[in-house]
Amino acid sequence: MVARKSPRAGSDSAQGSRHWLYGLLCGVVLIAATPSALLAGLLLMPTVMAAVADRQPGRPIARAVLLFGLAGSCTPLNMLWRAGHGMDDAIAIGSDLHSIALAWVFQAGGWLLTQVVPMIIGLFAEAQDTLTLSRMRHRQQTLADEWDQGS
Amino acid sequence: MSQARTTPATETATEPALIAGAYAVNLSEPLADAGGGLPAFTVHDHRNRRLDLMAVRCAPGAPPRSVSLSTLAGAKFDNMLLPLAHGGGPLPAGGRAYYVITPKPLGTPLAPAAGGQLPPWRESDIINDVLRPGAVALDQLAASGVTHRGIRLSNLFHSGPGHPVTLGCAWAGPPALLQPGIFEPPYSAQCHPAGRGEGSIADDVYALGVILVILAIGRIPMQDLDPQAQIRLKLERGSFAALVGDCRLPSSIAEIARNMLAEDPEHRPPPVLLANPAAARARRVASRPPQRAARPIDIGDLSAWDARTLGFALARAPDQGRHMLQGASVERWLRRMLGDPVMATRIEDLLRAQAADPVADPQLANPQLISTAIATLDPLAPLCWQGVTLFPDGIGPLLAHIGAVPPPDRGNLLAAMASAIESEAASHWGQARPEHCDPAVLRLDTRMHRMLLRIPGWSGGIARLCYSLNPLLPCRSPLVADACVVRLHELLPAMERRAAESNDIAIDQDIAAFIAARFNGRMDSDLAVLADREDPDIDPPGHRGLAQLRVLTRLAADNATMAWPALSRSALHSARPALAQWRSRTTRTARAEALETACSRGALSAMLAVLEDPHARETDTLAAQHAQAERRAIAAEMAGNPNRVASRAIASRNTGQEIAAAIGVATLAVAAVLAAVS
Repeated sequence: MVARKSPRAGSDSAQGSRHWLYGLLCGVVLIAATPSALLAGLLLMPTVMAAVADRQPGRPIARAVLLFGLAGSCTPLNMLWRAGHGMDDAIAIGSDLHSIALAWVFQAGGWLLTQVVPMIIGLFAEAQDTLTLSRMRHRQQTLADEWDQGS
Repeated sequence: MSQARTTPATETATEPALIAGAYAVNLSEPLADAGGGLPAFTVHDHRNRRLDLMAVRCAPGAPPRSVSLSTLAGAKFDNMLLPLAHGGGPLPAGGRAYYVITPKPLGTPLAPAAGGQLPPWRESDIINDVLRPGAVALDQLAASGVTHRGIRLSNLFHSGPGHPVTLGCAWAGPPALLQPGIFEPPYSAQCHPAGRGEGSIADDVYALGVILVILAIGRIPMQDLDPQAQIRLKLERGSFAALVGDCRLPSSIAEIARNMLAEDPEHRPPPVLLANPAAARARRVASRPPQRAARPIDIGDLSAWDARTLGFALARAPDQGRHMLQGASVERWLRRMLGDPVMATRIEDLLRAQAADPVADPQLANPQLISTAIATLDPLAPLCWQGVTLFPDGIGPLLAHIGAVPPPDRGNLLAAMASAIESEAASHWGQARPEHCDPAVLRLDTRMHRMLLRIPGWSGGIARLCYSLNPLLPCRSPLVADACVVRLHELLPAMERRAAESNDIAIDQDIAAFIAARFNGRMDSDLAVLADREDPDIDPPGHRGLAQLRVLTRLAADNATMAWPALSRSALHSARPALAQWRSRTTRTARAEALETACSRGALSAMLAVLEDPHARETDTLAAQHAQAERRAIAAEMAGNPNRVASRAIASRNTGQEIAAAIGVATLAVAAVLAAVS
């Protein structure tokens, strides 16, 4: 008798494979480009924390923080690559508080956006709903006044 | 020149009203004895300025003869007061009554004045002044298919020897209503005076024969006998023998009168023959004298010696007669004493047929037995039902008469008539004597009467039947009784006048029955609504008021040029609730204003159009349905609002995060470019 695999089991298996693939990729990057990986790890520390803290499906907060973190890390990484991509350069750039602060501020901004933008949109939507509800109540009253018998 | 006696006015004159647009009744100039028993007045002819006319006033509950009036309109017969016009006219005490316009009679009535004597006439005068002109007049009537039924001493006018008599007005009341029993054949004399029916021209010949006898013997015979005894005497001895008694008549008169007074109308000479007395004398009809029993049979206070008298006795004492019939006493008497086994067998068959129908209602079966038994014993006898005796074509006039009878008797008579019509008594009676009538026609008439009687509500019943059978019977509603409303187009003006006096009037049962009869059932559905009490759970608001307005509007269509402000106000009161049938408040308000406007103009049809606009009503209903659907949809949407709040929060968060990601991508792109450039 052959046991049928459930779809959920298939999905977990694919996710596990993807994790392995990411791990392998990270390992390759770490071995092939250790200075960049070191600097990026330092610069993207808040992203790692956000990825750990964000439990939503698809990790939308971590994704935004990552995108902003990458934006803030472009200049230091560029400097590293232009300086020759050495371990010393990586340590030197990583020791520069200005670069670190800029990258982390970007990531903080990204996190802030994920909190503020939904709030603003929610406020707009609520205002629109309130207006619609008011219109409906008014229409209902009008109908009741006009067709007060049998309707 | 008229020689009719004119008496001082005892009634107050009122303004003359034109009848047929030409004749004004002059109530200040009554004509005594000219109406043959009905009040008569001189008439001013506004059209032809004729001075020789009179108006004969119809009695309440005794409508004029519509068929005769229409048949004789424009006729020119000799020796007869023919109707020229008819219509409503004034009454001395106010109000209106129905009048028939005829020429004034020439001479005085043959009847002796009160306390006076009737001198015997010479044979030649009887022949030349009475028989010939009377026969000529009856012949002309017979050719028109009309009977006179008013030949009596008080309604025959004579202006002197050598002048022909004139047959008086017999059109202003039901046929033979005012005929004393002596002038009627026994079968007609038995009837209720209003139920004698049109009869036949042979009955007029009979009445003329009685006149001949009276004039020949110089007195009115049988005056010391009551009407029942007169009938009994005529039945037992034969009319001629009963009337002449021991008197001697000139032989020529006796021969003619004997023929004219034959018991069977088929045996009487036709008027055309009487116009030639020599031929009439020569006519011999072999009629068998009635079979006389060896011993009489006693029913009630009557001892019957022959079958016809037995039939009369059964009609007078129906309860006792029924017991004797069912106890076989009658059958035994017929078989043993009268020696008529055929008739005895027929009576036996009747009893057997009744016994074979155990489910028959005794209330109807017993009168049915009596009625059929009488018709079997005396095929000439009228229909007798629960003590009411009549001919079937007298149902209409009798119903009209019953309406004018005071309450205790009215109820009994109405119950008897309703029972007779409901059980189709006339049809059964006709089937028992098919040789003297057309049973198929009688059955059709009877069915129609019963159908009208069974129509529920105000548009049916006895009242509807009464108005249907009496086309010239004025509407009896207390609202318009004074106005003598006979035709439909007269009804609304009368109601308008009444509405102007008392603000709120409504169609009552009598008016509804009158309208139903005159409209011949075309408004029955609306009239039926008027009889119902409005049920708010079933009927739409203003249901009755709207039906009434519909009826009034239909009546107003015959008077299209007139406005009815008082009636409109009255109708508005009852019809206004019908506005609630409109669902839209705006429409209701607009239509209420339009209704008031139409009412102020007195336009009944406009009022109805405001309340009853089928296209607009359909639109209104559809719009109401749409509004209802919309209200339901809104309510459902509002009820789902809490769920929408939750979904809105999720959507806002997702959208916000997506926007944040998009900004992040843009920032990354800018940063990458800047980094690459620097």
